[in-house]
Amino acid sequence: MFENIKKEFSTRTLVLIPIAIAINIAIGELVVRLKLPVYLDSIGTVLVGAIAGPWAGALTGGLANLIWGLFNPFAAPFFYVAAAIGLMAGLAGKRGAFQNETPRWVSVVVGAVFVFSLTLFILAFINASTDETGYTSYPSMGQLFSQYIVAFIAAILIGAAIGYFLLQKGGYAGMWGLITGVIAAIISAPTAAYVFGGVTGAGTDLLVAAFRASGGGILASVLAQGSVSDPFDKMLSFMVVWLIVRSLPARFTSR
Amino acid sequence: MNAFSMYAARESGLHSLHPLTKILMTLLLVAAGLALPGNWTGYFIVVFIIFPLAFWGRVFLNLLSTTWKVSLPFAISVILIQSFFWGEGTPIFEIGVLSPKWEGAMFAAVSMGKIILVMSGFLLFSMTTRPDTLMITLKQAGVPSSIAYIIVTTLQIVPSFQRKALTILDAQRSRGLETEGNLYVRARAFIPIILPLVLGSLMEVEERAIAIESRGFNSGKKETSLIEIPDTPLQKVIRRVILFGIFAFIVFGVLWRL
Amino acid sequence: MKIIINNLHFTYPTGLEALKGISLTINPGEQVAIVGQNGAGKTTLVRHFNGLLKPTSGAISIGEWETTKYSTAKLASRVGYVFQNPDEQLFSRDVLAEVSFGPRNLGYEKSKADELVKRAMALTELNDKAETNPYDLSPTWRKMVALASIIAMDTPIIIFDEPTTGQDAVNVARIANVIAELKREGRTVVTITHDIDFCAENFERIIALAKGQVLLDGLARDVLGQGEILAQTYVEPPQLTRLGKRLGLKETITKQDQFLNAIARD
Ligand SMILES: Nc1ncnc2c1ncn2[C@@H]1O[C@H](COP(=O)(O)OP(=O)(O)OP(=O)(O)O)[C@@H](O)[C@H]1O
Ligand SMILES: [Mg+2]
Repeated sequence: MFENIKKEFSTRTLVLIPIAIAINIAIGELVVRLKLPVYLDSIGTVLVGAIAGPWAGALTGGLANLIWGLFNPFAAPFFYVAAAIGLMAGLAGKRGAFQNETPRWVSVVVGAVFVFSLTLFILAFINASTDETGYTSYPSMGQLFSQYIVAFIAAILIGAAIGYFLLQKGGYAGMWGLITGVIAAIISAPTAAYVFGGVTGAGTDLLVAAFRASGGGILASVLAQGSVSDPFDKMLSFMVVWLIVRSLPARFTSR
Repeated sequence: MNAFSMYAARESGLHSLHPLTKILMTLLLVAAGLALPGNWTGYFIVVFIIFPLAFWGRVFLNLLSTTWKVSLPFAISVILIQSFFWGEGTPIFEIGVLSPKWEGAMFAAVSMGKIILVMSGFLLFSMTTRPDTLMITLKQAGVPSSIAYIIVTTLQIVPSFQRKALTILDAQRSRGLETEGNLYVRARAFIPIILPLVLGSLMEVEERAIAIESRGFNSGKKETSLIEIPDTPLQKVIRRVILFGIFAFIVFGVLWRL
Repeated sequence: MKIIINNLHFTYPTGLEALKGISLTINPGEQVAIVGQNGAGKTTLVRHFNGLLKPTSGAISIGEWETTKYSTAKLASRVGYVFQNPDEQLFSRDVLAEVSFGPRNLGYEKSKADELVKRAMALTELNDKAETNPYDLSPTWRKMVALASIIAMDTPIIIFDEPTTGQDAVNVARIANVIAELKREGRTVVTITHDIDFCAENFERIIALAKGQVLLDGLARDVLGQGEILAQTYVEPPQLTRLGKRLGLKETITKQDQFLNAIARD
């Protein structure tokens, strides 16, 4: 294992990492300038994972947030989340997620399954009830299906459309991005909730507000917000990197 | 922010402290604020420790205005969300469905204390520490030279990346790419702008790698440096104490909450 | 399409006044070179042509369009701008896609766009490289891809910012050839250059800028004949011109064939 780690940190990787962090920052600012409703500020991190491997990706993510923390102290406490994203990108890369094209029907299935699960999760959350003793009970799947059948069908159709038109041939990379986003949402929620009172000062706070309004606790609302916006954001990031890797000139990839 | 640095050049005792001492001090204050019990500890530390330090470093107004600017969006967000969507509680007022709760507002105020503490602590460090002393400091702290290289190089190249992104934006607009308009139009502009940025910089990787290898980066020889960072035996002792303090606060904070 | 610039001033947000009252008219089909020392304001001036910068005061119009009223993306249908560094615009997986990007943005019909792309690629001698990734080409060929991608937009006006800097002699000749063809097509070409020999050989009109103002403006041989004034903006007349002067030739020499004729006559 140590041999592997050492192999990942060639001089080229070392040079690549600062460039990747600068890319994170420059693209993060560009997204704000273009007023896009996403973050996309870990593209450089994912790129290092894809090109150099999971450990290099993790190091890039961790350092990126710590350095960014010098200017925006809110980024620093989330360094472990960024590291996890880099790590996941590396694992995805090892399995060829960024090099291969996916048949479009696979992308359709990925999109449909994901939006379906998301809908299930949100509906379960909204319909949860807390009794006097503080015990929270969730509705059963059967209950939800019979009550919201239209919503579920719509979710599957929307997901399939996302898969077909957005993921296109990058379905496998997109799927890794979705999974990474779910992990990121779960592990970042406690820090966001306990250290920062559940807000980020960004547009996604509206989602937190919506979940609070539907009766969720602070941690649960942050988690719910994260599970909606993070997977989407990371899916896009992974797909952009998939596109970048495919656009790499031969003289870069041949080495 | 012109260069990627918040450094404010001044002559002060705080400025002349060893960077390692300062960063440990910052971490100690943050650890204390988050670990110690009491809702208002964060505010207390900011007002009675960080502000006086900022006076000493002659960056008080600078720190105050920057902290204000960066914290404001969080403040607005946390106060609105936590007070209006608190659930059960004592209403402040009621207008139709709108009914903010005292408990929520209190929670928001407590959260803001922590936010302002983290914010002002790190900003104070950034403002009083020359970025170019960072490399040497990191090495002295036992950080491997490759990590130090990454941190220092990043701080150096970020401004040029920010400029390059803007130039590419201009170049593509000159080719008829719309960058304003509805969401679809703006989203479509994204790829043609980021690809030249990423591909162009990946092309530099090889050149930089060769340059570094020829300089003998991985040779393991000890490098000499031009900048001297003054350190004192007293500061060395203080740093040990601080390190112990941080550790103690973390242990305390975790145990106390279990 | 006529370019009319009227008492143009521009101040950067830093407070630096880069242009201090420029008035110019550039007629359709003219070949204009802009020269001047570093920091004279050449780039700042031409960035106004396609609306990348908007005047602090004064006005500039392209045809009947005042640039303040149109976005750069709109003005791109009238003014093509080749940036100095090709790496700041190349992003496609192959040269053909790269060259097609501009015409597609401008909304030409498919058949028309294909035709424009084909002509631009032939003119820049890129036909055998259509399927190559631009980043696999040498920097000189990447420059040609950048040229082609703007030429294919079929704009009545084309701007080049220092096209010959860093190019070898073969490629400079290629670029000169491209400019000559654009002239034949009746397009206006405005070129910023530090290469005064290139400027003398290929342009009829020269504008010399100094410290944000027009120092000289006129036919190439008139401008290049004024060595002392040009020296104010650190421009030296071409070797051929200076040689002609030293030989005591009556006319100001700017081109090789002109030089040979004059020698033969005297
Ligand atoms: N983005 C900017 N912000 C502030 N000042 C600028 C900016 N761009 C250029 N300048 C300044 O404006 C002046 C004119 O610059 P400009 O780039 O137009 O000169 P130039 O004639 O093109 O020079 P060069 O031959 O070096 O390209 C210079 O003093 C330059 O430093
Ligand atoms: Mg210039």
